Amino acid sequence: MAKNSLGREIPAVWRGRSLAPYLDPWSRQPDVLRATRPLVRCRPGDSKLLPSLRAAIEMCELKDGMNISTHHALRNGDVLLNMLVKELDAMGLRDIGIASSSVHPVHAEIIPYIRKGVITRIETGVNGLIAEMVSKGQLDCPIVVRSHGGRARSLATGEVEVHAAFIAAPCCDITGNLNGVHGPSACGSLGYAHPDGRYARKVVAVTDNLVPFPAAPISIGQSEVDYVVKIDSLGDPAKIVSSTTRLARDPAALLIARYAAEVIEASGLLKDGFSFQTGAGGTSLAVADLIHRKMAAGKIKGSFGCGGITGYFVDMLEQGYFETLFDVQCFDLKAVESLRRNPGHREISASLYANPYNRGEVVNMLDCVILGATEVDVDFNVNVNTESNGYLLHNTGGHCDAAAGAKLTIIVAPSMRGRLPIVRDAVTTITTPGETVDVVVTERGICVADKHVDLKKELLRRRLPLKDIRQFHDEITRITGEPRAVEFTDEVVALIEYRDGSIIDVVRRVCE
Amino acid sequence: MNASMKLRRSLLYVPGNMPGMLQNIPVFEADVVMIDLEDAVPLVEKDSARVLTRNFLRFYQDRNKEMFVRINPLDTPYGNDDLREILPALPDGIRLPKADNPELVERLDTLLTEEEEKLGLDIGHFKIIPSIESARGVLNCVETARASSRLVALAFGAEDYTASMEIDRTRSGEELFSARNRVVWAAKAAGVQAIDSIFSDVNDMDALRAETMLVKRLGFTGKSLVNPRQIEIIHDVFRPTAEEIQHALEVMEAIKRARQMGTGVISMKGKMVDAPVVARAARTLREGVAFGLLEYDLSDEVIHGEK
Repeated sequence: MAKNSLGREIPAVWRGRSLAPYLDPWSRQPDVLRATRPLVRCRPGDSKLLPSLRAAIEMCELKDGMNISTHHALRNGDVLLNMLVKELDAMGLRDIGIASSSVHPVHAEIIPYIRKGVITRIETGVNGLIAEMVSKGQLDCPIVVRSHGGRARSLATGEVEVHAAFIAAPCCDITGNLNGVHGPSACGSLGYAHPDGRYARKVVAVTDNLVPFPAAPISIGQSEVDYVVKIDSLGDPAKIVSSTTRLARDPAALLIARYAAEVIEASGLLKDGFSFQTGAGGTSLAVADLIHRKMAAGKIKGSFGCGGITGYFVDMLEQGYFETLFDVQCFDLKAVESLRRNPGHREISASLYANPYNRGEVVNMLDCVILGATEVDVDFNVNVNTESNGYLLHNTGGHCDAAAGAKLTIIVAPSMRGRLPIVRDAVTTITTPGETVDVVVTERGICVADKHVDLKKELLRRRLPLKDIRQFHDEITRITGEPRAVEFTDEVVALIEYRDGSIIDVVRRVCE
Repeated sequence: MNASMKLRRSLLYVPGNMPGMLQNIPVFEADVVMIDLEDAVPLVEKDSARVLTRNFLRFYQDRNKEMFVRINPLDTPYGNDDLREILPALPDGIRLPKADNPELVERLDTLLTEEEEKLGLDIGHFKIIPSIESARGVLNCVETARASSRLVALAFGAEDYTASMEIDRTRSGEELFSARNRVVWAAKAAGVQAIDSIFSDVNDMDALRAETMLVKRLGFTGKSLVNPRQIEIIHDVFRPTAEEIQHALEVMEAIKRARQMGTGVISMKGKMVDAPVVARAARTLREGVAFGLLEYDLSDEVIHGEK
C-alpha cells in the first residue's frame, strides 16, 4: 500500500496487476510499441458472413480467460452485449472479461452470468446496478474504470487485450464496411469502436441492416473486419439517441450557465478560433446556448467543437460559428442527421479524441470545456464516479481527458444536491485531478484556482460572485451541515485509472 | 442612502411554503424578494409557511437584497398572525395586498409601529409597499400613496385588477393603460417608486421585454415577477445606456462646478442643470453602479451638496 501524489492509498498489487500510483497529469511516458493484430488474407469470393453470433464466437476462437468488447454508442438501447454474454454461457465459456467502451444500466441483465462465473471482470467503467452491487460487496467482479482516452490508450499499448470485438453496426455490407449513420439503429458516430477495429485480435461486425456493397460512408472499413453477422435488431432506437436534448429550465441551473458563460468571456478565450466542448446535460447546453449568442453578438468565428455532439453544436456549425465538429458520440437525432450529410461534421475515434499516448490528441487543442461533477473538493479534485453514498455508479467518460487538454476547464454543478454539499473537504473518489481543473461554477459562487490571478481580477471587475473555495465550502456546509462520512472496508473493488494508466484512486467496498 | 431612493427594479415573489425555493433566495439577483404568504400559499399551509418564512429570515443574516413579505390581508384571520410571526425575524418591509384604501395602509402602519416599539427598533424600520389591484384601489391610490411615511413604492397588480374589472388581461395591455397611469401619477406625486404588475407567462421572454419597455416609458421604476428567469430581461430593460451614463456624469461634474461657484444651477451645453436634472442623473448613475457599469460615489453630499 502506498499513497499516490493526491494522498490516496493505492495497493501495490491488485488481482495480480502491479499498480502505478498516480503522480501528476503529464510526466508518465509510454515505453512500449503500439499493439498490433494478426494480418489476414482474404481472397476474392471469400465470405465473412456468418450465420450467428455463436458461429462468430467460434471463429474468433474465444477461450476461457479471454476478453470481449462492444461499444456504447447505442447507450441504454444496446442489446448486443447481453446477447453475447448469454451465448458465451450457452457455449460453456467461463472467466471472460468485458472490455467494452462502457457498460450501461441495461446490461444489468448480465448479473446472473457474473454470479455464474461467465464474466469475471470488467475492464471499463460501469453505469448503474452492476457497479452499485460491486460496491456493496453483493457481486464479485473487479472493475477498472477508464476514461475514453484511457481506454483507447490501454488497447493501443496492449495493456488490455481484446480477443474479440463485436461492433454493433447500424449499417454494414458483407465485407464489413460499416457506419453508424444509416439504418433503424442509427446512432451516429462510432468513435468509441475505432480502437477496437484497430487493435482487437478479431473484429466482428454485428448488424441489423446489411446493405449491398459498398456501405458508405465508411466509418470502420472492411480491412479491419474479420466477420459479419446479421441479427434482427441491435437495440431499442428510442433509447439509442435522444430525439432532442434540452436546455435547463430550472432558474438555478440557468444562473450557473450564465456565470459559466461569463467566466468564458472573462477568460479572454472567446475570440476568433475559439474551440469548445460541453456535455448534453441541461446546464451544459444552456452554457452552449449563451456562448452561441455571445459569438453571434461579437461576430466571433470559432474553430471546432468536440466530444459528444448535440443539436446545439450542429446549429453553431451550420451558422458558421464552428468550422468543424469532431464527433465521438452523437447525443441526439439532429447530430446523427448532421453527421450523415455535413462534411464539416467529422466522426473521430476515441483515440484521436483523447488518447494521451497518441502524438497529440484533439482535446489538447481545446480552449474550453464544461464538465459536471458529483463532488468537488477544496483542491479542485473532481469526482464523477461515485455518489456520496460511496457507490460506484458512473463511468468517467471524457472527463479527465478534456480537463487535461483544455486551456480552461470549468466544472458546473449546483452548490448542493438534496441535502448534500457539492464542495467537500475531500471527494469520495478522485476522477479528475484538481491540477487540471480551473474553475468551479455554482449558483452561489464561482471558485477559481489560485494560478488564474488575472481571471479572478476580471471576475471581480464584472461583479461576479467570486469566492475562495474553502470559504465557499464553509458557506455551503453551514446550510447543509457536514454529512456523516461513508464508511468503507479495506477491500478494493474497483480501480480508477487516470488516462495515462496510473491509478488515481480506488473504490473500496462500502460497510453496509 | 435614502431608503425610498433604493434601486427596486425587480421584485421577485417566492412562495413561503417552498423550502427549496426559499433556500435559493440569496442566489438570485433580484433587487427585492417578496416571500409570499398570501395567494401562493393554500389555507392548510398558512401556518407552516409563516414558520418557514420566519426561520429563513432569521437564517438569512447576510442579506444581499431587500426582503419583503407579502402578508395576507389584515381583514382575514391570517394577516395579524403573519405580522406577529414574521416581524421579529426582521424583514425590510411588508407588501400589503389589496390596498383598496389608505385606511388599510394606516392600520398596517400602526401595527408596525407597535411591533417596532416592542422589538426596540427605530420607528419606520419596516417599509410598506401596498398593492393597488382593484378598481377601488386605483381610484383611491392617490391618497393611499400618502398614507404612511413607511411607504417606499406603490405596486400595481394587474391580475386582481382585471378580475375586479371583470375583463381579460391581454398581451398588449390596453385595458391596463389608465390604471397604470394613475398608479404612476400617484407614486410620483407622493415621491415614491412605481412598481408594475407581474408578467405571468414565464416562457414568453419577448412579450415580457415588450411589456417592461412599455411600463418603463410610462414611468414605472420596477416590476414584480414570478420566476427568477425573468430577472435578467427586466434588468436589461432598466439598464441605463452608455450615453445616458455619460450625460449623467457630465451633469454631476457641472453641478459640482456650480456649487464651487456658490450656486445650485448652471448651464451645460446650453441646457440648464438644476436639482431635478441632478436627481435624474443621480438615478441613472445609481442604476449604472448597480449594474456594475461604473463606480461612483453616490453619497447624499454628492447629490445634494454639502449642508
